[in-house]
Amino acid sequence: MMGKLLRQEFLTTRKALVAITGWLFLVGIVGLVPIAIPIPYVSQLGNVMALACFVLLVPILLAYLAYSYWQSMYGRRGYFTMTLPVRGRLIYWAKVCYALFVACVGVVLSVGGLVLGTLATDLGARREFGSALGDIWGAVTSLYGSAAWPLVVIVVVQGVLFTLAIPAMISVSAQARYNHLGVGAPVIGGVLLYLVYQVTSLVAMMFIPFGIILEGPGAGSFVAQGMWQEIVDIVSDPNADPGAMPHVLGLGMLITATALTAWVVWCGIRSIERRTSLR
Amino acid sequence: MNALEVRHLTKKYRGRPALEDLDLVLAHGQIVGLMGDNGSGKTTLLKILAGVLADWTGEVKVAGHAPGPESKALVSFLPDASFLNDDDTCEQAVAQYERFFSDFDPGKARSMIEFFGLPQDRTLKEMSKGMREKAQIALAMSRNARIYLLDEPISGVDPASRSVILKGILDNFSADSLLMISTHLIHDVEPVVDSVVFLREGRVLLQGQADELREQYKCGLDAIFRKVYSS
Repeated sequence: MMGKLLRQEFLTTRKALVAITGWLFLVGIVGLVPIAIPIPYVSQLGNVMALACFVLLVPILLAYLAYSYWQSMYGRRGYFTMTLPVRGRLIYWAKVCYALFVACVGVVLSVGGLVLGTLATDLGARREFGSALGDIWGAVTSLYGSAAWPLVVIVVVQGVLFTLAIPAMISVSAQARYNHLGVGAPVIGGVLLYLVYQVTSLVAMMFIPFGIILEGPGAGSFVAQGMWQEIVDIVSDPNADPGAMPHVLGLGMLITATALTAWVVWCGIRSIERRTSLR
Repeated sequence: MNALEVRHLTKKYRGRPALEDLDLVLAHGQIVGLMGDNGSGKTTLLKILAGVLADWTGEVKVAGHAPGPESKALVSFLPDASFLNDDDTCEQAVAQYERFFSDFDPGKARSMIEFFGLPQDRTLKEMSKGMREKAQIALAMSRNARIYLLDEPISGVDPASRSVILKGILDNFSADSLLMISTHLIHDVEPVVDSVVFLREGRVLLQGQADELREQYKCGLDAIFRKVYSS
């Protein structure tokens, strides 16, 4: 049944996903042309346009899938989805797995687009292909050192957690007690979820003793330390450099975000299986 | 085992009762007309039986199961909404049903689509409301379900189409199943129903075999409906 549900997702969303990707790539590549030629002034605008298209590809694809989730679960198409003889959790996981797959493809395409952007920059500057890419990676590694890759992994983990939490939050918002708000319910739910994530992440980064060293000899290694004490030391030291930054990035938010996501997913599945109320 | 057993069913929308302490028992092998004025609870009852509406109190058994995946495997529900993908053709919709419902008979669906005269080359969004309704009925009635729940299948279509739709439903209904059809167009369904349930304000106002009620009141169901609702 999982395969059938995944296929159904593909069949019902493929046209829109291809259209979104196609348009963003078209606009992005058009934006690269003045960079590659190059055309003064216009190339700056093209650069921003191309960057926005390639970077926003994954968020826009996932936003569309969230809209599709609402439509296919709680809109008129919900009358088909919710009468399927399967448990609600299977429907939820099928949709989430599909969204993760789309996000992976989107990331590959985004990275491809950004690499194209660096090649256009090289072409415009009459430099060897790969020079701009090397410059960017050099800037990232000089800023974060050996912590660059772990930080990429952390961003990916947070992206996965959000992909799990958003549809679950939509299902909670669609319960009978909230569904008189219509589409406003998931919007309010999304804002609340974001705020809770932010607040708990901030507290966790400060106080949970789990972090990663950002610079210096131990850069990239994990330590049993939060950020609170170091920030207090910087703030209370009158001789401290005003631009001083903590050497350790607290990773406690991964723990709280994972726990919060697990709870939201549990609530979401429970909502699908026991609280579904189609209007 | 009864097809449907509903005891003390109450459903409220933000405190306002849509169904109140409703009791209903229906056996297999009949066509039941679920009738009532607007807001009497017909759609709410069918949604609960179909398992798409929660937060009710009481006891509900559908083909021996509480509403859930087990009952959904035995119930074919036709909602009062266009629930198929607008971009699909009839054939794609048939394929979709075939993938998900093991009791679905695609040959029967194609015959009904042909009987209704639906175009094969048009998507659902290119069809009229009546055509889409017919397509959905063809799909719902092509399941070999134990219970069929049809919510207002003939409302919003012209009188000629109503006859065609009802004929399509009757021709494809297996005699050992229960077919529950909600409508306020009593005159149109009167010839096909074996029994009726009249709802008012979320309660059963009157229930019985159609012939017995006609005998008792000495008039047709439409007139009985007017009589009991005005009393």
